[in-house]
Formats: sequence, C-alpha cells, structure tokens
Amino acid sequence: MSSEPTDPSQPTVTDGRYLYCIVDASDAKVSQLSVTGLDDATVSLTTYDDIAVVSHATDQLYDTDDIAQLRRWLVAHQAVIDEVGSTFGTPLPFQFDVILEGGDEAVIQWVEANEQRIRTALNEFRGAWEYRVHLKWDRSDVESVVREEDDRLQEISQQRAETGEGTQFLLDTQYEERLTEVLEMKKASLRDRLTDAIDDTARRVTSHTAVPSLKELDGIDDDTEWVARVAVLADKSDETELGAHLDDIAVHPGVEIEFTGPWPPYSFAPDFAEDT
Amino acid sequence: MSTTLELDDDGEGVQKGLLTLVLSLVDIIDEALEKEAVRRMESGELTDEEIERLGAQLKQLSAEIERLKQQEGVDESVDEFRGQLDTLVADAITDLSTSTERHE
Repeated sequence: MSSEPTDPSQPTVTDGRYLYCIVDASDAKVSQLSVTGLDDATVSLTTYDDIAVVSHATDQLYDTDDIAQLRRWLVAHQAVIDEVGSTFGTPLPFQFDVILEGGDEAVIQWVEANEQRIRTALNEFRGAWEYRVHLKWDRSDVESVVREEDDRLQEISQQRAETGEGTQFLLDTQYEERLTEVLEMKKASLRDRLTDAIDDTARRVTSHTAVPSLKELDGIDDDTEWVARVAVLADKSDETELGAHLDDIAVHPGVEIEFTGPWPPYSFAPDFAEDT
Repeated sequence: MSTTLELDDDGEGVQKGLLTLVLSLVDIIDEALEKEAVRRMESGELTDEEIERLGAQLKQLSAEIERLKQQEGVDESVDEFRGQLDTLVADAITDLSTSTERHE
C-alpha cells in the first residue's frame, strides 16, 4: 500500500490496483460491473474463492491540491462502492487512495493473508447498512420557545422591569447564563431521545464529531447548530421503523433531522488499509 | 486547532497584536467578574444598593472595554482570538474527558 504525495503526471506505481471495496461474491451472478471508476477507469473484480475485491488498474497515486478534482475522485470512489453494494450486498469499503502494487496476483495474496479477518467482517456486516442521523436546530426558533416557556427567564425579565440600570446589567448577564443553561439541557434531552429512538433497531451506533465537513457547512445559516451527528448500523428491513422513530423527535419546534442512507458501513467496517 | 496573533510583523503589526492580546485578556477577566457578581447577587449576600452599584461599575467597565476595542480597531481580531481560545479550551476539555474515560 502506498500513500506518499507525488506528481500525478508521473507514473509512480508498478502494476498498481486501486482498491474500492471487498464483497461476498458467493451469490452474485455477475462478473462485470457497469460503473466506471476514478477518471472513468475500468473497474474489475478479483476473486479468491467467494471473496471479491473491486479495483482498477493504475500506475499513479491520486494525490492533488485541486479540491474540485479531489471531490470528483471521492464521488467516483463512492459511486463504485454504491453500485457494487446494490449488486452484491453490503460491501466492506476501502478508504480513498488505497493502492496495492503487483497486479491481481498481489491482490489475491493480500486476501489470502487476511482471509479470516475478511470473512469475519463479511459475516458481521451481511445485510447491515449505515444510516446517518444529523440532528440540528435553528437556534433562534428554539430560543423563542425557551424564552416563552421557562419560568426562571420570565421571572428575570419581570425583575428587570422594576430595577435600576446597574441591576439590569447584572440581570441581563443572569438571563443569558440561564438561557445558555436551558438550551444545553434541551440539547442533552434531545440527544437522550435520539439514543432511545435508535436503540431498538441499531446493531451499533457511533457518534461523529460535532464539527461537520465543509460540504455540509455549504449553505447553512448562522442560526443552525448541530445537536448530534451519529452513524447507525442497522438492517435494511429496519429502515422504515428507524425513520418513524426519528419523526417523533423532529416534531419539536426548530428541530430538524436529516436521515440518510443506506450507505456502505464506512463508520463501522474495519480499516483494512491500516495494517497492510 | 491553534491560536495565532501577529506579533512578529513590523512595528504596527506588533502593536495591534499586543493590543488584541491585552484586550482579550481584559475581556475574559471582565466576563469572569460579571459571572462572580451574578453569583453573589443570587446568593443574597448583597443589598439592593450594593447590587445596583456593582452592576453600574461593571456596565461602565464593559462599555469602556468595547470603546477601547473600537478605538484601536481590534474589535474583530479580539472576537476572532477569543473564538480560537474557546475552541482550544473546548478541545482540551474533550481530550481530557476522553482520556479520563479511557483510564476508568
């Protein structure tokens, strides 16, 4: 495996195989894929018994400073994995730009060396898909509700109307502190409700960082705040039930839930590139 | 996440960086004083007159800090620097709680 930065115009890999994912090919009736890979590369399957590795032949690494190019490659990488998933069932994805040198022979040798680990993962993830749940709220909408509902905030507002300027200044600080505290409690309560909603159907759950990617930040206004971002590993048959449970949380004013999937189990599958 | 201030530029850059640093620290102290004043007000330790006087002094201090920031043209850089510090502290707390959980 190689991931050294390099000039993409120069061949840097000998008989390389850019790896997309691993699938269980035992039930599959196809040996060709209709999708093309990065830069329209022809994607093929290399099989070892019933284990298939999806790859394309390459003599270059995919390293660039051009963000638009990188985005196109990433989209193509995901498109191949999605297509393979719809044909073969849950794929075990590789990260972007994992390349093995030495042609199909090297791929087969690598599978052979990691066979047990691959079979365990294929069994574990069979029929399971990743769903992403992003819980966010419009801060100003939620604040309006809190200002109306919270007795303590009402009390401070009332006190403020009956005092001098100096005391008003401290009451304003007290009001803001209380507002922040109530909003944090509301966030915690929503996170608890989210955990309860996905517990029944999730095989596994993992929290993502509160800071979203640049792509997700595109077009987001200042009042939007993330409350929770989780990835759920669930059976496809439980998708509707999972979505219905989430609808119950989205009824809160200002609260919005993005529920996407099924995705390949990017957040759960072992990182095969890590120790090769 | 790192925090940056212009302190290695020409004379003007150094002066602005230094002012940003000083006013950021004063801002933080002012915020801590306000929190402490609210805590005392809530505890019932102070009379109404004392609360009014304390509040008036802190209001004046806060207004003076804002005036200085505007006058020196560092209001945006103070906000930016404080934002960086907040992120740094939040990350440190997350790291600390993660490593504490790991050791439990």
